[in-house]
Amino acid sequence: MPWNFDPGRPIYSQLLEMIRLQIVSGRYAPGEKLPSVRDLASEAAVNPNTMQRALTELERTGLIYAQRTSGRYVTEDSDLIASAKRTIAREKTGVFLQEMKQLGYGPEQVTEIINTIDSSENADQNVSDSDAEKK
Amino acid sequence: MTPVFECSHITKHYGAKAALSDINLTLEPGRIVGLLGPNGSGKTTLIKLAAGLLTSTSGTLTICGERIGPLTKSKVSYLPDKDYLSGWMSVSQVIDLFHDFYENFDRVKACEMLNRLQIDPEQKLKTLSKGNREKVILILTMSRSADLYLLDEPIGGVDPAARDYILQTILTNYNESGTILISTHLISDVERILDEAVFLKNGTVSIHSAVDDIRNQYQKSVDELFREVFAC
Amino acid sequence: MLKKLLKKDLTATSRLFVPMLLVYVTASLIAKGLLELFISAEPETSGGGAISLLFILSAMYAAMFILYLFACILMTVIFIIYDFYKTMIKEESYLTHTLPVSSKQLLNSKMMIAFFWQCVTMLVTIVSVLMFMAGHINVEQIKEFFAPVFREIPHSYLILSAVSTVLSLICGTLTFFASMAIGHLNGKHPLITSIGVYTGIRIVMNVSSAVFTVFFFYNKLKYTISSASYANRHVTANIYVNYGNYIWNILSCLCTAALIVFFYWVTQYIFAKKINVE
Repeated sequence: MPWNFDPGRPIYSQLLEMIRLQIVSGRYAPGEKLPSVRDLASEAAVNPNTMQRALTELERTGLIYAQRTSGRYVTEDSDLIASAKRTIAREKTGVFLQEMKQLGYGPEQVTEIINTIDSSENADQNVSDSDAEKK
Repeated sequence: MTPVFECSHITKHYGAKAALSDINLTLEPGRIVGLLGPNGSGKTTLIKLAAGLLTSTSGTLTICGERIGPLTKSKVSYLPDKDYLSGWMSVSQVIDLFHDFYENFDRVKACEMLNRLQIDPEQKLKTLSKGNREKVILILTMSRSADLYLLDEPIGGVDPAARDYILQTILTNYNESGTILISTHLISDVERILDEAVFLKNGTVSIHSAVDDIRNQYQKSVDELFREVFAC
Repeated sequence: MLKKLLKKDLTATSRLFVPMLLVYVTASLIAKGLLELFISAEPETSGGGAISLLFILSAMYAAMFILYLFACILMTVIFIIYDFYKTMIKEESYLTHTLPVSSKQLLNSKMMIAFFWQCVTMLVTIVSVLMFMAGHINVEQIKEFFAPVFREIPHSYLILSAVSTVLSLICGTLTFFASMAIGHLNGKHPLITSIGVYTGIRIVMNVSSAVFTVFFFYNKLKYTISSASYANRHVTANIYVNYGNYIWNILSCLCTAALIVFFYWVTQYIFAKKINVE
């Protein structure tokens, strides 16, 4: 199934985010070899050149590196991965808090709501998180 | 590097009407380009000119630096919008035909792909369903390692599952140093596989740009931009 | 490449010609059978006696058979035109004109295949005529019939006639091809335009030929070239020996050859440089 994209932004930057998410969530383990550009492009149903551009940009963040003849690998630096994970979490939370602010809820009220939901539906939160990652 | 497709002041008249007016377009090797425009904008005319089925009223068109002729035809793999193979031929006969005439035809690959679709090679083309017939022709077209692929509305009139299959086939089978020119009006399906988009409006090129640049510049997808540019 | 084109065209045209010829062969075998039946039963059915139903049906069959023979000659022309039209101008032209071959090669293949089938049809017809004669008319009688002709007409003239026939066949085919090539330039109505062009060309050709012939033979009109009825065969033979006729024939061949070159060039030029497939 082809991946879904936001119309207003370049596809390559969205691909970059998706693969980054796959790395920080553990779909690709540290040190693991990534599929070839062609295979990844085929999986996402995108132009290989676009996928190539996304991967090149991702290399710059250090999360992946290229071995000249054998392809691309996820970094073994688990600290880097963890820090990327935190950064993404902060970004998403920031966006979330902004949306809550529009509703009129400040951070303390949001924390209250989270605690209420968390205690009654613990498992569901995780399931919907991993659904969002797969997209 | 020689551009794989170069159009200079191409004009094509049908009687008094100009289907194409002063088209200047250059395509580099290794790109997937969308030729986008509404019906009647001249997409098919431009493609037929490149394939050698029409001659322009004025202007020059070269493929890999050569004028249209037997040499360019061996480098161009064309998928027309219509049914053009003899219905009485069997699938294997058509494969033999392509194998005979085109050196760059990969027979093994074509047979493999047909196998995966479970299409019996001994079946006559006219007995295949429309969808299967179109898949067969697509397979034949993409099994050639050409310098230029001309696909005229490859996903028009086809169900969504078949569309996915067709786009997958295009992506996984083209020759990476070759260029694919896809003419379509179903842009949202095709946008993700394009490098560049060419908007053809009333026989002239109104936009020619990389897809990412369009998204950056206009803050919208090519599909959305198209709807704006070609609003009725 | 030409061999591959020949193979392709031959396969496509066989689908039309082979059934037609098979039907002809079968029909002629049946006709031969009926003929034998009547010749052996002759005393009962000819001359005054009761006309049997079999006789009437056989006479009808014979009439239909002869009509079919003429139809075959017509079908040969129609099939050739149909194949050319379908593969060079209609849908299949999308395949033909994107093959990596020159328009000359395409045309050469079409011409060779057309000539091939014309020869095959002629051969089959001649063989069937011989088959009818077999057992009733022997070689001696044929020789005797044609003897005066062969005696008085120089061999070179016979060769000239043969060459002239072949050239006419080829020219005829090319006239159709050139008309269709010119006709297809009119994208909206290629068929009507082709027919119009062909009619125009034919009229011009026939009128020119008639004018030229009358002009040429103005002095010699006293020789009425009547049909070679059996009684007049000596007279006819005399006419053929007349050198005027000879020169006329050579000039006619040259004109046909020139037309062949012209039509060939027009057709291949149109498809190479002016192609306009809808």
